[in-house]
Amino acid sequence: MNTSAEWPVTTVLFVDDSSDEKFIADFSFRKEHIASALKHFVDFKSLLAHLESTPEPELETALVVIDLNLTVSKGSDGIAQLRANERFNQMILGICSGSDDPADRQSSLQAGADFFVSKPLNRAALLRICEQVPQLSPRQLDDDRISLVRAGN
Amino acid sequence: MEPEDPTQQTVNAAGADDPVFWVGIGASAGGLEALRNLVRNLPPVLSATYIVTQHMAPHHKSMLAEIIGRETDMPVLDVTDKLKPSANAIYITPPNSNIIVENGLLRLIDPSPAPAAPKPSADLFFTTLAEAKGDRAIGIVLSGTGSDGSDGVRAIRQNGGITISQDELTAKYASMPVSALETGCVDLVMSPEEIGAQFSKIVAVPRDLDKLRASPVNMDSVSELIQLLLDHSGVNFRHYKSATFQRRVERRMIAVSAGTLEEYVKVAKASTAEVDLLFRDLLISVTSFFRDTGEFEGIRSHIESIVESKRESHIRVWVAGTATGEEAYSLAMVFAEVLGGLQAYERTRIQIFATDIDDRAIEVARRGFYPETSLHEVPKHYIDEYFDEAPGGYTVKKSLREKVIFSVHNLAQDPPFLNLDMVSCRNLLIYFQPLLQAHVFARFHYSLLPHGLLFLGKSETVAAAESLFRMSGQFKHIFYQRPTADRGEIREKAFTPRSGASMASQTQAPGGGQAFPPPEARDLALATARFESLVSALGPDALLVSSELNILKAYGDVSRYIGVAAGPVDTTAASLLIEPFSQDVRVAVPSALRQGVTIQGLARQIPEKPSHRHRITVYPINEGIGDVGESTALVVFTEWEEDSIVVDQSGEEGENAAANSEAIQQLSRELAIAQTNLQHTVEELETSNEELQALNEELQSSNEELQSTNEELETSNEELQSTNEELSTVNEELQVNSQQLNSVNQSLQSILDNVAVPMLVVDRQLNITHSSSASQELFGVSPDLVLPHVTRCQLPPGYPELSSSITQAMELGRRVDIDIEQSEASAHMSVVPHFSASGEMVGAIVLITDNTAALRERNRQLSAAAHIAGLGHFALDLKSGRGSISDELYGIIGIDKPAIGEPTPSLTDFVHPENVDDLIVAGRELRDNGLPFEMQIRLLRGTGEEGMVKVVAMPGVDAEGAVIGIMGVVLDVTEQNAKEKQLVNTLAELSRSNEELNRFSYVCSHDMKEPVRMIEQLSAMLLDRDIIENEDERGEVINRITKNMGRLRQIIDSLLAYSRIDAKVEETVIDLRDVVEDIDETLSLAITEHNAEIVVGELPSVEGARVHFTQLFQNLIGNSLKFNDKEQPVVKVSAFGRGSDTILVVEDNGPGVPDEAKEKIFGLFDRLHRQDEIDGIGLGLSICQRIVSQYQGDIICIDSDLGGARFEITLPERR
Repeated sequence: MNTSAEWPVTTVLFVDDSSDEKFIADFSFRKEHIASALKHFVDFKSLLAHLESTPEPELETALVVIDLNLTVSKGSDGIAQLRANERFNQMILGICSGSDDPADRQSSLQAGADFFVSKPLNRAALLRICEQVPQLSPRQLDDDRISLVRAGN
Repeated sequence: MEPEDPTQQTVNAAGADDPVFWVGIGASAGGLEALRNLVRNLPPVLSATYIVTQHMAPHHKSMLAEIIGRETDMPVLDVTDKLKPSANAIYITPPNSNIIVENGLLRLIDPSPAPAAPKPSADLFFTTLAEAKGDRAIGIVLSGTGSDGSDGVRAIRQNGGITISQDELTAKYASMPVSALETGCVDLVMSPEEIGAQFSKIVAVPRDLDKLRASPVNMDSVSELIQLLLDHSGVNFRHYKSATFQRRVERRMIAVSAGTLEEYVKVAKASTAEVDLLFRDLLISVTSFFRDTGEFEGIRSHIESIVESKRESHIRVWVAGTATGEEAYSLAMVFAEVLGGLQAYERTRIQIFATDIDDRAIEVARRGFYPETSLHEVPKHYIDEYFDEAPGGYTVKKSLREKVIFSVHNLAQDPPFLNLDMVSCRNLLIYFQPLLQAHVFARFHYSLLPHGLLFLGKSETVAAAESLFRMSGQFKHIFYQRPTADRGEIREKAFTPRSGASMASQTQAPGGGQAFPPPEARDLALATARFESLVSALGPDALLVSSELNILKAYGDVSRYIGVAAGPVDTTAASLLIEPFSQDVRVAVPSALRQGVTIQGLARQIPEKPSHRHRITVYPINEGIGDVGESTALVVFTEWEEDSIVVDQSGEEGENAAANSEAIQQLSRELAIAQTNLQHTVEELETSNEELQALNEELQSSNEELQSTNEELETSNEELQSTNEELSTVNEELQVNSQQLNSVNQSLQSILDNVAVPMLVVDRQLNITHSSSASQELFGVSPDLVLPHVTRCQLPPGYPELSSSITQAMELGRRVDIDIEQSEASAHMSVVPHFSASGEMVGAIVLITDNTAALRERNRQLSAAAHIAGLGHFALDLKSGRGSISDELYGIIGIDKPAIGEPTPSLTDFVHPENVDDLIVAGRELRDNGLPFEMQIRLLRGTGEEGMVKVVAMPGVDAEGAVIGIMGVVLDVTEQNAKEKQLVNTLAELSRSNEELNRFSYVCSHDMKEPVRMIEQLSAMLLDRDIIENEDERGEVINRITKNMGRLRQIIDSLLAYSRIDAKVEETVIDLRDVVEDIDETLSLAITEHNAEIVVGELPSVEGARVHFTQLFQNLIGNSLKFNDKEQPVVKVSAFGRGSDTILVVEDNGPGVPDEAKEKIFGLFDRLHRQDEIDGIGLGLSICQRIVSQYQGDIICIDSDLGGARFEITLPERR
């Protein structure tokens, strides 16, 4: 476990089966100087496989964002599954959606999501995530990049 | 006291707004209507104010002012304390207050605390009004019960005001007006409407009256009026006080609206009735019990003296001017009390003559009835002892009344009563002039015994006859008669036996009426000769005359004394003798006969012989002697020659002196005879006069007493007639009542004969006194039996014992109700105690209400309702084991009703085996424990069909609550259950459809929004400098935009297809093989591209829309081609039948569908593959499912024998 008081979110794990969303997110991270790396998965199954192979310390520096309406599964089901897993339940997990339907937001939070944010996944979306998750806060770096910092327990 | 001319002073002092007349209106029950009629007709322009005293409940909020206000333009206001009333306004006395007039203001005071006292009191108000306003006060008594207002009108009348009473015929309650009228103090009797209409005349005339007062009275008219009254009534009002007379005349002038006295005289001349009214008005019948109480206290000691002195002898009292009798009765009560009570009074010989010239007042007095208000001054113990309570007042007890003799009597003209111990004449003489007063006092003096008592009024004295009476002492109005010598003689003579009676007694022989024996003829002749010799010796000229001076016989020569004078002639000596002998005989004969002495007349000269002298000497002859049987007198004439008598004046003695002496002696004798005769004559005249006067007075008094007695007898006769009439009336009423009773009895019998309700009336001994025909039929009681006992009734089944029920009702004293329930009959029996009018229980009434018809009707309605509702019912009598099943239940079971005699089938025979046990257990619980049950059971009908019924059963219990039977209803719920099931399915379908619709909306919005949002964001990226500068990236962005737009179009097309499924399309019979062949052509390119094989089996023709089935097969076959991953995809289309359903099958050899997704794949936009794997939008199978549902069919996905997915479409047979 990382023992420092805070640490940066180094990787954003983004699950979305739309190649357009991935294209836009990649462009935004690059264009908006986001310090975190964006890692894309087409389905939850791929994410889960990645997480299971990821060392535990790296899990604490990762931020999971799953699309609510995946073609073959629901994002909220994936969140619930992760929350049920003791290895992943300390991670910051969230849902993104093309709409901002309050019912979707409510069902997402009930499933265990820490946040619910509208797509596209860009700088503004990350700032909105920080507003919803107390442990997260944005940090402007010297080289004009923005970084998300997670506070320790 | 009011000024002499209040009108003038009021107007001058206060102005025109102040009323001249104050009108008091007293009313009670029924007064509202009378008041409304009165004020409706009152002109609002008179100088009068109206104050209403209407009896009201003390705590009732009065609406009187408002109600009266609707009838007049005058303001109608409630009286407030210290109110100064205005002219032409009506004031209402508020409830629970009395009203009086004080210092010209209306004052409200607390009412009398007596519970029965009227509130407000009209008497009190009228009395204060009369005292305050005098002749400007007007009192009106309207409808009401009781006698309030009577004293008031009396007071107004006494003070010169005008009194009006409502005509009793128009009054709802006549007691008050009649009571006022009976005081004799009412001026006008009119209806309320007439009072209102005539009121302007009543109050207008006094203005002219004032002028009359100011001008000298026309004495000629007054005299004429007095003469009219004298002619009419026999009463001379000449010596009545002129002011009194004038005031009464003026009152009548107001009443007849006569402006001047002359006008009134004209009216009086033309109308006897008006003269009578004036006469009545002049008779001031105002009196009261114990008037001036102090005076009565004073007279009591004198009455005690009279009673003490008279002991056993007769007490005689005269109450002159008694009016309506109150004073006479007051004195009678004092006498009775002094005598020691009513019984002693009855025993005492006492007569109280009570007289008045007013016959109507005497009538009232004779009745002896007085309203309660008249008895204010009568001590309570007097009322208790001397009065009987009567409706509306009190009646003087008969024993007191019997000693009081009322008669009409003119004090000034009719002969007075005599030998009186006391005369009471109070408040009458004040109306007489002094001359008439003196005359009356003389009569009283004559009437009274020496030192008799005279009782006068408070304002009266004996100033006009002080010589006749003296004051009693401390009491100024009680006087004693002063005895006089003359009066004593007259009274003494008046009671001497009459001469006629004396003479008659003398004709009676002593010892029983024997007469003297008749004398012999010889003796008679001898006696005659002797008598004649005697006469000859005395006379010889003589006349035998009777006591009436008739000449019976002449002796000697009397011709020189006989002569007939001019004028009437008879056979008496007085007529035939010449003067002066005629006069001598007239004087001397009666004296001689009366005194029994010989009387000589004076020496007389006759012209023929101047020198001779003649004298008569009268010898009385005793009765029975001579030839006549009556007193006679012998008149003897003697003659002698008279020498000249010369008186020698010389004084010489001798012959002349002797002759002178003889002459003087002779003259002296003559003078003595003359003096004696003269004295006799004078005494005789005086005696005769006195006797005649006494006789006359005695006769007059006796006559008066006889008249009084006669009037009393007439009164008694009238009372008897009245009693007789009353008895006749009572008899008539009894006859009417008897007829009504007969009629009621007949009606009752008719009712009993015709009433359909069984009814018995029994007495306390339970004998049937009345019975209706229906009860005779029901209980089998013969109507010919007389008072049959109730046990003779033959009771129908189920009826309780009548005698015990009746006895119970009578013992409890209240109604006893019993319900009688039989299998085919229902009835209700009521036993009610029967009371008489006095509240005594006299028996009971038994009333039977037969509800059988109603029960049958109710059963019929129930059966009809059960039939309409398809409701069967059953019943089981546990005692007999007999059961019954309704026709409807047989219909539900599906079997025919068994014929009569056949056993009733068991219901359990038709119950499905799975429910039989439950039904038996529930039935046992019901039978053993009375537990009702309700359950649904499957039924195996007699027709072989299966059905479902709902059974509800409950126990039948007796009066003690024991279960004696089972009853229940059976409802066929087969169809209802099916419908309920269908409804549940429909609801589920609707719910699913609704959910699907919600999901459809959501998915549509989401999936359509996605490409739009992408296009939006990608388009925005085209503006980014990096993208613009990077051609590859720009191309990729554009490419992505194009792809999203294509996807959006695809979604819209699919949704359009989806939505069109519900559109109405033409349905025909479709050959599905043709449809599949068409699709084969359409998909030929894809088939070729995938190297696929389409195998089409036998396909049926179905009813439906071709477009639907084209879409269905195109989507299914297209999917099989799109998702197939085999080298040579195979798609097989076939059909088969299952029951009436048609099963269409599309299957392939593709990858198949995972089990968990076999249902999900039919969801809107649900897909098993990502977009980047296989293109699609996830609506194809949703459209298929929707099409199939249009035909009430179903589509499922299962695994195919070909290795892929198999879609089975079930199409039900279309009806």
